[in-house]
Amino acid sequence: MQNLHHEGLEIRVDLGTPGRIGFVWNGRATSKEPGKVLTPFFDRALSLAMETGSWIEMHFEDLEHFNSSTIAAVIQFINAAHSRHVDVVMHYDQTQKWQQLSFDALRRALRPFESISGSSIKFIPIPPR
Amino acid sequence: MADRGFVIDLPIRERWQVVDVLRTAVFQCLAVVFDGESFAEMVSMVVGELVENALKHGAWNGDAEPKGNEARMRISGTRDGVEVEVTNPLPGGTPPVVLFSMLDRIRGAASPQDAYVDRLREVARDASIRGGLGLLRIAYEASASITATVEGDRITVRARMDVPPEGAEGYARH
Repeated sequence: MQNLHHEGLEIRVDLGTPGRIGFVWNGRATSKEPGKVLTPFFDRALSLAMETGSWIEMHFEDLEHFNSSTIAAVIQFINAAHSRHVDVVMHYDQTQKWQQLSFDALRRALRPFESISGSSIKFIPIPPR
Repeated sequence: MADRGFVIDLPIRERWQVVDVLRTAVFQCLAVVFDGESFAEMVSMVVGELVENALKHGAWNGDAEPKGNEARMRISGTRDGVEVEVTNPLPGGTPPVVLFSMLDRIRGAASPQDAYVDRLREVARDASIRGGLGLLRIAYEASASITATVEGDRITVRARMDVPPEGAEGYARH
């Protein structure tokens, strides 16, 4: 997989650890229709994860901002990963107020999914630096 | 109480790149007015979501200038915080049903977070759902009080946010 560059957003792909597909988000996700770019990108990631038996790790700590359309694309990706039995780990920076609020809500929204058979979804806040 | 009186009043043009420029500029201006960056960051997020809505759902017809009435963004410092107001012309014959249904949800929910989380679940399960998430997000993340009024073919959405007490960390009502 190739890194994704779209408007002010970069998602760097990290395949350096066997069994793990890493995505590191940087910049600002402010696209008008992010799903048009992110959905096919995530679909490729899920296919690769299923082929290789890998889990997906997302790092948002260095992301500066995402709009609600990007949040929609992210939660749809997590739902797709869950239904395709791919484990997902989300890392975020809880010392940034906006990240803490955004990921608190995402975590709460996804809680019912955890009781349905599928993959595991973990949210890992990085501790204060 | 510190003097936080200010007004930023700008016309909006239909260029998507403008949203991020406005958001960043508002953050930088407000970071000068208010202590700490979190409040400025929240207000700039609100500006971004409301202007995005105006560009997505307003009557632009493919032109940079709106049809009929002008589109504007106004941010003013109030005694207790900030009010963001975004006005844009509506496409003919399409009342903003989703917007008003989202405001009803906020009023009817136990908390703004509950309303936002419910919408996130709907969006997760159905990728065809469009709209509403941004309004619920600003009600929750920025603890914004949101109202909307339609006059003729124009809609104005207002979000009011109080500055948290000095030393307080949180902005969201859970």
